[in-house]
Amino acid sequence: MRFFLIFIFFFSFSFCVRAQQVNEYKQTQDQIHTIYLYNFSRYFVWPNTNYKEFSIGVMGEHGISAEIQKMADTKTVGGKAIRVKVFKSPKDIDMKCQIIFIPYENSYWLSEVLSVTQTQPILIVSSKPGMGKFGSLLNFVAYQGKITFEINEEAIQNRQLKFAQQIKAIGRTL
Amino acid sequence: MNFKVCTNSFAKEKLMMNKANTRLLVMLVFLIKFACFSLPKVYGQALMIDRAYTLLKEGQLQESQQAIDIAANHPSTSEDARMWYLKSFIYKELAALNTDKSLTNNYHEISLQAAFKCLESDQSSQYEGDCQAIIKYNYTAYLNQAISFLNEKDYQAVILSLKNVLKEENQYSAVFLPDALFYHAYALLQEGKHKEAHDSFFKALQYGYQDPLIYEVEALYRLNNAQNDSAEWYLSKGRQRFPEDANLQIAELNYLMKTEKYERAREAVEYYLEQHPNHIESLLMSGTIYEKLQVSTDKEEHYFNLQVSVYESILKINPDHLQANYNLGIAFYNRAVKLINSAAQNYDLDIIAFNQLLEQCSALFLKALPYVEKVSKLDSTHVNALKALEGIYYNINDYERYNFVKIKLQEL
Repeated sequence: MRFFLIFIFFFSFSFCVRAQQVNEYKQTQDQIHTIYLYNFSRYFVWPNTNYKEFSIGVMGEHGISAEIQKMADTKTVGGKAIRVKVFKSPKDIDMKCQIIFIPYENSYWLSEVLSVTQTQPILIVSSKPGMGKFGSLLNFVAYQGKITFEINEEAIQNRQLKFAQQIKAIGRTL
Repeated sequence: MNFKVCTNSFAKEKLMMNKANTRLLVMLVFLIKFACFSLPKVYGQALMIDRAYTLLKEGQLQESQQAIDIAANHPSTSEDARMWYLKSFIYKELAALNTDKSLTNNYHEISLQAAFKCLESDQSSQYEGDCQAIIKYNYTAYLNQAISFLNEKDYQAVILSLKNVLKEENQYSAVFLPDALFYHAYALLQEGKHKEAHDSFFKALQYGYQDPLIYEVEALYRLNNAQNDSAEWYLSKGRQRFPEDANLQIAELNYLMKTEKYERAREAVEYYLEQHPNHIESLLMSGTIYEKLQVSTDKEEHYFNLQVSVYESILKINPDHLQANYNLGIAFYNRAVKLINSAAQNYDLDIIAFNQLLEQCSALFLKALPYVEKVSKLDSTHVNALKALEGIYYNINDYERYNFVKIKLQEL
């Protein structure tokens, strides 16, 4: 027996559609900078090659230290181990470092780092627009949305550092 | 889940006409039959039965009810089949004339019980057919009452209306049970009583009631109880029986997604999209599936392109679709991040090759930007969109806008 009232179910479509997750963005930039730093170690030449280990210093506490350490755990430079050093302030800088990286957040230390290291053959790399003109040897910048770096050739020569043509091909000379 | 119930005015009119005809017919049969069988017993309380009958004929229903109740309570007539038949009829009439829908009276219940009593005591089966008609009438009334409450979305009243139909199974109620169980289950589901709803749906299915909703609810219930195989069985049976039912197709898709059977989910969603090419929810779902397949298969590029194209299709239909804008933006963004992550796996990428990869990444970040900005424009408090914007600005070194978004996020 059927009943008299027509009884209709309407189902409201309810897919389990989820919003995509945003990946951790700071780590991404740390990775980019780390890959660049590793490439700098390959394409730059330091006057003194008698160092026991290749040291990369980071100014202040920053997530990039862990990323560089990950790279250092698996890579070498000219057959030498890579050592990561974190400097709490410019006065702690070890002059035996080959590279010093100043993260964007700690850019205010640039002038002090330049002053402390003077003409030491240390590649000082910063990551804030304008820092290249301010004396940083290499400075990460975005150009048309792409991360690249500025090259301060004069400052590099003053520190007796040499670099391969690939660096010039990629970076933007000031 | 959100269900809708609708009424049909034509069906209501039909119900009223059918009710009136049925009542007239039953009344006519009753008067002839009752007059024939009322002659011999004219002594004691039997007179009260006759009185009730006379009053009924005269249209004095309340007085007739009083008289029959006296007869029912007296030992000399309490086992009289004729009395029970008359009582069931009078109460049925009372129920029919009753316009109070509050379920506070129990005319149908008394009529039903009296009819059963009549059948028990009617040794010569004189009233059998009529009692059966009254029983059916009452069960039908219960069900129609339940349907009426369903249409009014008064689910507690539905459950109460069906109580007497579901109370005990008998040869007369059996025919009503499948529908009653289904409506009961549906009302329980709306009341959030999932376990009880599942029990009723299951029983309805056992009684042969066929509705895609049963398969869907049963599958969902089992899926939520980690009974994946059983869930799949219900979905498969439901899909066999109702191959074009959209809800079951969606339920199957949700199941395949939940159990991470992405390849089958892809087949299912593509089949669905063949029939409903502009169905936005399905397009969104397919986007999610293609995203999953980028990880679980070796056709990453292929599925990334498909993922992008489905979101673009949605935006052609509705350029302001918030989730499609967001998902497309994030698809580009995450793709860029993935490329960088892969380069960071061994750091061996030559600076020239790395530069080329960064060009790809920045192109992806810049592609992502307008979609995520659109989401933020459509909903300025969309935290995930702001987080994505924060990430994009940071990665393209746009620190001014990065800091602006960061402050906005902190305020939220």
